Amino acid sequence: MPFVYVLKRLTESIPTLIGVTLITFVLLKCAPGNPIYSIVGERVSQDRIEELKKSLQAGDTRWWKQYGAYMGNILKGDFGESYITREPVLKALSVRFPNTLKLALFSIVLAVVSGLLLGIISAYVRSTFWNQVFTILSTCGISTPVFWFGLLLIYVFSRLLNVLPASGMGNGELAYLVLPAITLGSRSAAYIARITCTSLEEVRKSRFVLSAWARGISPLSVVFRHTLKNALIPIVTVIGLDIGSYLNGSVLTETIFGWNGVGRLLVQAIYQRDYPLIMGGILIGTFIFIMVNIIMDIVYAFIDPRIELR
Amino acid sequence: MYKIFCRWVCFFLTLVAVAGCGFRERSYDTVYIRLKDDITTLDPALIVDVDGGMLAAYLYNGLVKLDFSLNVVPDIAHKWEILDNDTRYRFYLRKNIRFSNGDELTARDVKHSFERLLDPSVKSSRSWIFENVAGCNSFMSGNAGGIEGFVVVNDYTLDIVLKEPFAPFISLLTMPNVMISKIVSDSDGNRHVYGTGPFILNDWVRGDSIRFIRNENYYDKMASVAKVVFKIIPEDFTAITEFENGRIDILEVPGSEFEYFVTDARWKDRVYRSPLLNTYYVGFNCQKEPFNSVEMRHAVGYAVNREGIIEKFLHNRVTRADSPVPPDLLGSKISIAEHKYDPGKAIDMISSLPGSTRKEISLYFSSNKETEGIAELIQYDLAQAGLSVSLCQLEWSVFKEKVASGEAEMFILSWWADYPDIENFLYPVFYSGNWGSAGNRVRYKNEEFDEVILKARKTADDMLRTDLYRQALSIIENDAPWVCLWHRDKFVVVQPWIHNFKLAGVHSVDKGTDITIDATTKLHED
Repeated sequence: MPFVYVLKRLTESIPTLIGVTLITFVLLKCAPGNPIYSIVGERVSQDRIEELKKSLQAGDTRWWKQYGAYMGNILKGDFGESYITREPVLKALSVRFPNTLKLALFSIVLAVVSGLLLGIISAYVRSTFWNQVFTILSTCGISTPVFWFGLLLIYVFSRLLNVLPASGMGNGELAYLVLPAITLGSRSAAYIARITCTSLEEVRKSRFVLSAWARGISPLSVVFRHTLKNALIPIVTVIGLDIGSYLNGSVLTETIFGWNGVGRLLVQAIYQRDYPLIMGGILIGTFIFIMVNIIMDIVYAFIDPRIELR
Repeated sequence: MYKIFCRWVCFFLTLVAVAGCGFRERSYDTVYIRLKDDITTLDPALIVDVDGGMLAAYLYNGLVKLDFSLNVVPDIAHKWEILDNDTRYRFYLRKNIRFSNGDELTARDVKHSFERLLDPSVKSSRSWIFENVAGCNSFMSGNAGGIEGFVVVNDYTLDIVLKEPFAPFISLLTMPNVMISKIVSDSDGNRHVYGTGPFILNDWVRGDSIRFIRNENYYDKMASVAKVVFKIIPEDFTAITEFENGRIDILEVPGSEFEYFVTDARWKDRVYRSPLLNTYYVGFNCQKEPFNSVEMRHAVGYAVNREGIIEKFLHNRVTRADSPVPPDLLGSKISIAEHKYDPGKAIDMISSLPGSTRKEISLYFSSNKETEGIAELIQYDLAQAGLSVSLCQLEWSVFKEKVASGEAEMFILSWWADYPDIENFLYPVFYSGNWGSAGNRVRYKNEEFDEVILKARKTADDMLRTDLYRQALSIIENDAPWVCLWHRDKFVVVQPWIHNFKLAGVHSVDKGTDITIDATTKLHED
């Protein structure tokens, strides 16, 4: 059943993918600026510029012809090569994507664990003081700008204490992942904490929870198996949205920590008008988003059997 | 509740402590240098960026090179002669120079390397370097299989024949683009670029780091450090943190932290300053109203308070410019009058101009925090002189397009030396045949200037040539197509364990062979 469902959803996503490439292509054509000025440097004759422009356009000047040619190449699996570095687009993306994936997964795990715990605790704690502490923490988490929080972490853990590296990825050591992951995951954690808290507060008033308590089931089982499971749908929604966006790169975090991910690559590509790289990045990013959405829908059905995959 | 909270904090700190283990080790046979952005390529024919040129100097050699005083000195060619009325350059190559794949370098490799630069399929934008070489045009248009101007006399002698005498040619050969490389494709179709320089490319993780290792077979003075690692750190604050923690050895001082490094007791004696060959200027479109009027251009020159901007806004990080040519190139040969700030004169000149020239002017500049501040200050200065200026801030590629097409009537830009010769600051930027992206972005045209500069390019005699440059500069001074602002200096801060560090006015001078590391300096501090 899930296999047929996934296949159906993937087929349905084809128009989305085509639409996204078309919109991106048209927007790039409308945007001022030209990649040629990033390639040639400061001293090159106007004739040479025209020659190079022609060689980039590969023949046709009409945009729909160019778009057609581009899509034709994509179907053949050819994403082209970067105008600036002349590196194949797929290679450029495949070098960075594992880094983005690593950071995204680590951040989301951190966010889910700390967000859920904070949320559950704040839903069950009766002390006004601790409730206020949790409210303040989650408000801070949601409203702190990522770049500021990242710099603050660098200042404290790298510059003052010198216990964690501030940039790069080392040889894959965990140390390099800690600060970027906390920076990226903090906002998500705060959202998850809030939503868990409100969602739990609603569910725990239900009669089935009351009856669970009355049957003398252990508190842990009541909280996790009976209450949390029924409060999970909104929480999973938030997690799904965040994973989707993290997998498409997180420009600020990647820039601050010199993390070699997809986000920084694409922003650089946009500045340089590196069309093949932008197009390739957006196409693959869209595909990832669609996949995450499909997976999330399957997870919904798994959590709540009343949801049917059709 | 309190317990849970404490447990959480403990868990987090343990995580940090466990994670933090091991990352601090660094080796003291390696120099770590920060790059703000990744370079685009290490193929000499395609390099156009400053950092790319700097790295190329570590990997490759040219026929000739620049020393730290910017004189042209032998490199692969141990000597050269100029024959046939200054149109034939004969280079005698050293024997036993080897590429990093073990092959010996011969005159044929040099010829191949040069021909690649002109090969249309390589699409190099620096083909103009050889525009004076005989047979270059017919090769580029596909009418000739080779270039007649590159003649292999024997394995160790190469002639370059020019169409006509071109005095700065020898300094042109110091550019990274004409450094010699050997390109070999392996059986899997992967391209390898080999050089003869003091270092060999070991690993390049795009967007992250570039690693060089010492070339043990280098023909000249061997590097003292075993490795050089260029780390790409886009954010200044992060780079400074890494530097302060000793994980970066050489850091170009970011503008925002300039005051900190030159005043901090630990660092102020470790900051090196060197003038660079560049000129920042306000350019006018000389063909378009209102700046087709010489008086108007002079008036703007008097109105801009450069000293004020340099002192208050740039904290004296730059050297005031009175001429388009940096003082290091002028030397004692040509003296330049100081260009004074005179707001009173500016007001008089502007008010005496016809009303139509006093409409609102747009000042174009690229989106960069510092340039934005400078543009605002210039806007204020001009407003004081009675000119209303609107600011037009554009993204770099859009900005360059508008300036090259002549749409921008007034703009802030800079010109950086390709090679250390006065000609490089006059011919590309003011000759009327170079309008637009070729360098003359102000669309300046003066037949007298054209004649003088073309003559200077062909004059081999140094005295005569200097005289012609002097004439050309005085024409430019009268016509004022640029308001020269300043020459930017380079500031670099290095760790105490780095010794013999030197800075040069051109980025491709340093080959990284002088630097030494004294790890004991570090140990004493600990």
